[in-house]
Amino acid sequence: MNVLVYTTSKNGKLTKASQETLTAGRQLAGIPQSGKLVALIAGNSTSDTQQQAAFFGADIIYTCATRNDLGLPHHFYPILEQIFDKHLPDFTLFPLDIFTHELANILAANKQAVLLHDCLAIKNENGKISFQRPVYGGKALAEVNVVRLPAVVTIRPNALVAASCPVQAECPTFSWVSPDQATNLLIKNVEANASVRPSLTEARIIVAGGRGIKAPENFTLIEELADCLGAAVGASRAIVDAGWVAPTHQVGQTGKAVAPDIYIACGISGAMQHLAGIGSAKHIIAINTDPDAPIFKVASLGIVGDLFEIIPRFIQAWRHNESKSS
Amino acid sequence: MNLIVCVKSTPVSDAVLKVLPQKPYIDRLNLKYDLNPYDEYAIEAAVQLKEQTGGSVIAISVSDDATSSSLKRVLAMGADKLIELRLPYVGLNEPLTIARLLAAEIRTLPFDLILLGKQAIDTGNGATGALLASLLNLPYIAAVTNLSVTNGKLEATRELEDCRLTLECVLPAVITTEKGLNKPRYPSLRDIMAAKKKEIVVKVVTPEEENLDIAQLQPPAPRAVGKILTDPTVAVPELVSFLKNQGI
Repeated sequence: MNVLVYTTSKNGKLTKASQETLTAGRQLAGIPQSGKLVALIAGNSTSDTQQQAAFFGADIIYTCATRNDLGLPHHFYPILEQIFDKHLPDFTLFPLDIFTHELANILAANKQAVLLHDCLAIKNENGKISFQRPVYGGKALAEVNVVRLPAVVTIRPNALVAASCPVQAECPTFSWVSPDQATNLLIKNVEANASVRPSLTEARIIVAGGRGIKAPENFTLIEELADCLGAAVGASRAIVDAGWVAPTHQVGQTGKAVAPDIYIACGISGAMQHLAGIGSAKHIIAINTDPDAPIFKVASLGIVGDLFEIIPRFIQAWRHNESKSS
Repeated sequence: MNLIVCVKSTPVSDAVLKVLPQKPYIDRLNLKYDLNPYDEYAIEAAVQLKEQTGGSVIAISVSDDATSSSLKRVLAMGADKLIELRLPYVGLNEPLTIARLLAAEIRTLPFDLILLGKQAIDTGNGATGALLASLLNLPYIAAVTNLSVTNGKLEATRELEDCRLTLECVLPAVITTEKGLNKPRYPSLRDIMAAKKKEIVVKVVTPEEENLDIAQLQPPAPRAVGKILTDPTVAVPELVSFLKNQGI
């Protein structure tokens, strides 16, 4: 199989999700025998970034300007298409985020490709390739066979483990078409997101608050805990619906499905639709006053107690510990 | 404005799923269906635009016997007409299959704007809107959280991971709706009664062959039983060492 992987770099480094997606790409390129793995790096990159891509198995590496400079997925699409048309990959993979979700949609639409979003695993049985993806908001996992190629696939960050596979890569130069062209949308305003916290989909740790925080102003306690751990901030549907927190923070079947290493649920009872969205978290930690809350049934570590007592105590203990070790 | 809203009926988000070993893989008996939550924002936005500018709201859905009855709520919410594109079974279809069926119907209708929920909570692809826009060759804005129409131009706000964008395009166009765009209305008894007089057209359609085949469905692996602590003086140090052991 020939495979194209869209990757991004931040501060000259290939993102973790990009490394995971390259690993998936390498796996597919090896079926049935060695195909080419082409990587497109979007973002400011250096020869270091290219070396990283080669370290994760990319045979051919293209680099281009940061996606932020280029605005919308619609604007970036012509660049992707240029590479796609040159290599005609059987599979095109993306590490899933809001931007790549749309980029993948546009590519699949234009190339009449088969489209699979949010994949968690790839299975190869004697050359028969199937993908595992959550359906019904994570209440079930589907094993999906791809009957026709080309296919466009997005991979959920943190679902796969990146594995090195160093190769000798070639890095051809290429010039891309002007991003101003080929779109019927006009950008009238761009408001940068001031948050320095990691995004929910890529974060290693998520701290989320629910009704147990009792009042909107108490959400700062959740944020404080998140910042103490370098975590992303999530919220239950209940407090989003109540207008306490912006909808972008909502985790669950009607919000974001996440796959962090650690999910800390504070004052979240664990409604069915919330649990569905955190099913891929490696460890769930729950802090809740109600010992019968369903969240405790899925928690690796459950603390029955008042979050207004536990969280400040924890922050103090954690900071004490940090200052000791530094 | 002539508005078209594409909707889907999905198992409700608090439904407990019973997974079966054979197709259709889930036990649909006693499974409660309702409008996909994101589609409610699309209907509300369309009805609000109609209230401002006049015109009509037509709702279109690819449906089957099990999902059909819950679709009637779009009429109570203010849609003027419901067109059901009926399949023997609506399951986890490919978005392209659905987009093609919708596009074929929409080509026969006059419209200024097509609205869809940003994704269905069962299939979870969030791709039908983009594919539909591509098939109809129209401008497309996804996951809209703010919307206005003036002089044939649409202005919409959407969020990406790192920024909030305000975009403009010329109508006709396709948008998908995100939570936060509006507060979908609860139909009054009067709305529900009035909806009974509205037109529902059912057309049996044949989809193209799908390119994805679901080999099996399984419930997520059960999680290992964890440790439950109640004493804060024990719990807090335990949490610190748990996180340390995870390399945090």
